[in-house]
Amino acid sequence: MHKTPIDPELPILDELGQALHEGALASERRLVEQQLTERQPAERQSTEHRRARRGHIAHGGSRMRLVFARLLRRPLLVLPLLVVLGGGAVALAASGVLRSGSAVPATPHLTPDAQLGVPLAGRSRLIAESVPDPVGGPPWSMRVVRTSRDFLCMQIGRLYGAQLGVIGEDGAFDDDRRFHPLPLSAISEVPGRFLSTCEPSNLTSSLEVSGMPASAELPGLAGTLGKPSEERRLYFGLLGPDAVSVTYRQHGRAMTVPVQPGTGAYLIVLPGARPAPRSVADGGKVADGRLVPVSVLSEITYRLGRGVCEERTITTPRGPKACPRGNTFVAPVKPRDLHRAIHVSLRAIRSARSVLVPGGAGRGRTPSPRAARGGSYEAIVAFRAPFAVRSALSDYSVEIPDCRGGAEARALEQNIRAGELVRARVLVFANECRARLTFEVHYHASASVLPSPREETLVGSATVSKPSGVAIIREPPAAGRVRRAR
Amino acid sequence: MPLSHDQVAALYREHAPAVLAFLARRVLLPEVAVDLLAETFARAYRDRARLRGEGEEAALAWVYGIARHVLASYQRRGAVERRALRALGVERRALSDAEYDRVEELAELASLGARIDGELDALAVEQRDAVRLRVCEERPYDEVAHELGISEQTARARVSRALRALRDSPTFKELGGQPDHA
Repeated sequence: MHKTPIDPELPILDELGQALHEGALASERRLVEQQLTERQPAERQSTEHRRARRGHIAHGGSRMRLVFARLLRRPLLVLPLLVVLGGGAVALAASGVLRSGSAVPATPHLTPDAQLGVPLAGRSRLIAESVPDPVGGPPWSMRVVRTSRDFLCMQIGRLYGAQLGVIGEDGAFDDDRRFHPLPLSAISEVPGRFLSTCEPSNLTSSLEVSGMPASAELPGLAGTLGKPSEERRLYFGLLGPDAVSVTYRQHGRAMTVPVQPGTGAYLIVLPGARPAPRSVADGGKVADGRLVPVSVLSEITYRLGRGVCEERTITTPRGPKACPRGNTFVAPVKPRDLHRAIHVSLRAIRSARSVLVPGGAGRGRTPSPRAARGGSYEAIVAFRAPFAVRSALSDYSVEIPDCRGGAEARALEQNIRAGELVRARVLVFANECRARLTFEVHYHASASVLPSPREETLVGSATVSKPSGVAIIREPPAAGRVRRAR
Repeated sequence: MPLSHDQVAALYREHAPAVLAFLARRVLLPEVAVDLLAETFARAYRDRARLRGEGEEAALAWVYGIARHVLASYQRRGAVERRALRALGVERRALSDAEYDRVEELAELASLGARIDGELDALAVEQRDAVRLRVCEERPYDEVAHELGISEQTARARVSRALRALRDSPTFKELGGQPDHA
C-alpha cells in the first residue's frame, strides 16, 4: 500500500480505501471460486467428450501447427533496431487464493544455441496493465520473454497473485480448479496447448485467437468447450520499439491502449462472438512491407522523432495511411555468390510417410500425398560456415530450386561459429524433383540498418543425381478429369 | 475500457477528497458524505468492467456519475444505500471530531452555509417560514399550516414556490442538486 496518506487530516480515507480494495479482491476471489464450484458438475459430465475431442485434435495437430507456423514465420515487418525490453512493467493484479497446482510443463529440449534458445529470466516482463476478463475472474496478462537466441516470445494467461498461469477448468488440468503457473520456459514458436508464440526480435507480429476458454489453455482449434458466451477473443502482438499505442473498436467506440515500451506488446481481450469458431489467425495484414492493422485493430500509433504518427486500417475509404518509419519494404535482390564448396551425399529412404520433418515446426514441410507416394531420399549437405550465427537474426538454409515444392527448404536454426563445418540433413521427395538437382546453401541476415530488411548470400551450390532405387511415379489422371475427357 | 482493481484504487487515492467534498456540499452532513463516498467506490469496484470510456478523465466522469446516482438515491430514500458496501464486507468507524471538521473544511461548508442562509433570507418571509418548518424541522404539512395559520393547500404552495426559487438560486445551481423534500 502507499505510505503517503491521501489526506493527513483524514486518516479514515486511507482506512476506507484499503478496506474497499481488499474487499473487492476478496469478493472477486469468492466469485471465481463460486463459478468454479458451479461449473464442476456440468464439466464432469462432459469431460470424457472433451478429452476425446482433444485427443482427436492432437492427432492432426502437427499438420495444423505447420499451417500456422507458415503464417507466423512470414516476416510481417522488419524493424531497424534491436528491441530492448522496457523496464518497470510490473503486473498489478489480485493476489491469489486459488489453490496452487503444478506448473505448466516446460517446453522440452530447449538449448541455448539452437532453435528458440532458452529464456533469459532477467529480460522478461509482464505488460504493465492486466486486462480484465469480460466474464470475470482473474485478469489476463502477457509476458514478453527474450531468449538466448534473441527471440521475443509472448506468453498469455490469467494473472493471479502476480503470477501468469492457467486455471484448471474448461477441461484444462482435469478441471482441478487450481492455478497452474506458466514458467518462463513454457514457450513455443506457434500456439500449442498454451498460448505462446515467438518471433525473432526484429520482426513484428499480430495475432488473434477466437474461442478462448476461461482456463487460458488452448484445447484445440475445433469445437467448443465452455459456454460460447463465456469464450473470449484475444488480440495480441509485438509492434516493435516505435509503437506507442493501438486503437481498437468495441461496441462501435474506439478504445486506445498503450503498448509495452520497448517491445510494442499489446493484449486485448473481448467477449466471444457468436458463432465463435476456435481459431488462430494473423491479426495484421502485410501491405508494402508494413503491418497494417486489420480486424479489431483500427489504428497503430508510432513514435516518430519527437512526434507521433497514426497508421490506420487499410479498410478506410482513403486506404492505409502509412507512417514514414524508414523501414519500407525493399524487394529482395539477387544474392551475391561466394562460390564456396558444398558437399552433398544422398541416401534412399523406403517411405517418407514415417519420416519426421526435421527442423522443428515452422521450418519443415509436410509431404503432399503425391510426393509421399513417390519415394524419397535424404541428403546430407556439408559446408564450412563463412559467417557466424549468434542469434535468430541470422541463419543458414539449404534450398533446392529444382523441386516443385517437394524438397525441404531447411533452415538450420542454430548458432554456428565462423569456419565451423556444418552438416544439414534434408529430406527430398523424388516425385517432386528432377533427376538431377542443385542444392544451394544460403546465409540470411536480418539487417539492423535499412534500407534492406534482409541480406541474403549464396554460400555455394552443388548439383547431384538422384540415387538409384528411387523411382518417379507418374500418377493417373483424377477420375473427374477422365470423365470430362470422354 | 474496463478498469483493473488497481486503477480503481488509483482513482480513489487521487480523487477521494474531491468526491467527498462534492458529496458533502450536497448533503451538508460529513458522516453521510463519507458513507456516500464509500458506497460510490464500492460500486466502482463492483462495476469496473462496465466503463466504456478511456483515460482518467472518462474514468473520473464515470465515478462522479456513480456518485450522483448514489446521492440521488440518498435524497430519494433519505438513507444511504449500502448494497455494494455490504457485498464487499466493508464497515467503517465513526469520524473523529478532527475528521468531521476536515470534511467540512474540504467542502467549504461554512461558507456554503452562509450562502444558503443568504438565499433563504432572499425569500419572502412567508415562504421562508414555510420552508423552515417543512424542510428544516421536517414537520408535516398539517402542522406547518396550523403553525402559520393557513390552509394546508396554501402551505404546500408556499413551500413549493420557495423550493422553486431556491432551485433557481446561484448556490443551488452551482451544487447541481435538488433541495430535499421537494
